[in-house]
Amino acid sequence: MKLTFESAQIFILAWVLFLALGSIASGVFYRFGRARVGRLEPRVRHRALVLFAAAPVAIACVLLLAVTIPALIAFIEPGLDHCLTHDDVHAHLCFQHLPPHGLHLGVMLGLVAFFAYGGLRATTAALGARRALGLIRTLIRTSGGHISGGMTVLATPAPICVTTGLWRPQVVISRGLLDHLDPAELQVLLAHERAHVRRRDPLVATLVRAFAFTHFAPVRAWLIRELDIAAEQACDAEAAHITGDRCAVAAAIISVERLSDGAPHGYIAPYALGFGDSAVERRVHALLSEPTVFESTRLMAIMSTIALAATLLFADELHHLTETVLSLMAH
Amino acid sequence: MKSLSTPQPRLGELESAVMDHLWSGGDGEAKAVHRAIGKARGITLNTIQSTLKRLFDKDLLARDKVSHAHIYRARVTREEFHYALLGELVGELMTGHAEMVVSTFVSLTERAGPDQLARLEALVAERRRQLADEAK
Repeated sequence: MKLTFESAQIFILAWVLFLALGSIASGVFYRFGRARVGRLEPRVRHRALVLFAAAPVAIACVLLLAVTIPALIAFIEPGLDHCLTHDDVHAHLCFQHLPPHGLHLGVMLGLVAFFAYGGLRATTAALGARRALGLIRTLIRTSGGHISGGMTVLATPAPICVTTGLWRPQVVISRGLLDHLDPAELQVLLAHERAHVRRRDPLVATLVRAFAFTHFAPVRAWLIRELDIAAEQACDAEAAHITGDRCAVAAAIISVERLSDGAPHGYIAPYALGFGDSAVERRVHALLSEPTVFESTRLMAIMSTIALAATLLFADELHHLTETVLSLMAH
Repeated sequence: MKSLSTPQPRLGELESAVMDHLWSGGDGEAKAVHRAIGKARGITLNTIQSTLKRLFDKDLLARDKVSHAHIYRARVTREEFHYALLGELVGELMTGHAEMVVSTFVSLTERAGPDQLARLEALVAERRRQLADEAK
């Protein structure tokens, strides 16, 4: 098998092209399908949004696999070599025949810029996350081992409660919040945060933000906000299940929001833009209405399976089409 | 509450233990700190002395010279230190850097507003009345 720098360039360009297709597909879904996602029960919605976040990368990988199939077949059975029908300047997605030359310099620079931008974004995000985790670690280490109900208690009057940590998430609560909550509210808070721990929401949120880079900006903003709200609503639902009182969960959210109003520590948090916009409003309304009936994502699963089967079935045609498009783009 | 300049230093495990010892009213002389937290960890007096010096350099400790020894004391209370760190954390949340690894019970970067909260409280009370009526 020959995988030279030139042929690797062609495969990478194909992957980037497919990633762009995946981003366009996610934009189309955002335009026409987001209302349907909004109607899903929170846990199912959260799962659907995680899959949606990974969709462009998954689409790019599946398409690349599909267009690689003919090349793999030719490698195993040389008699089925399809490249012989091409002229010499055709871009070869092939392990047997080298492309006549590498990519056009402009295309190469575009690819380098694309990966450099992605790397820069990822590095900035990773450094920010590292700073935040360092802060939390220092807070926990200097808490003096004050633990209540499995939560680390911080000696500060500022009312705050967070779940943090990627691999072993833990709950951190301030003395200021503990002192202001009644036992029913504290039970809700504990149940909610333990649900975050069990679901490993910080890790999921990190992975989704990593994948979100592959979506267009409005889709990305919607995806991250909806994912965060879906996670909160899923934990609210678990807290309601444990306490057996949806109104108590709604009341606890309002209490903590009221306490937190004066707690931005020098930062002025903006008010939600309008009626129904705030996460608190959506969470409280969801708790006061009847629990959402589980809506199956079976239709989405069936459609995805059909798309996957069709892609693999037409692998040969897709391979030739991709080579033609790459020839037009690359040289 | 004393306002601390930011950013506050991040502390390692031993530095945190030393601060915890001093915040809990422990003796600030290096030998006493070593007896309290160093021996159990199997570390030398030198390590404790350099940790105290490091915390002094980070502006978290003050010291007085008594005879030949330095007696250390915390410059800030645990509450002040935590308050300053939480301020930084909220700052990181506001810039979107921390929200991926930190999940808060209610958002610290967006407020519902008093009018909206009052309306939501009324809705909760109304729902409770409805449920009570249905239960009768």
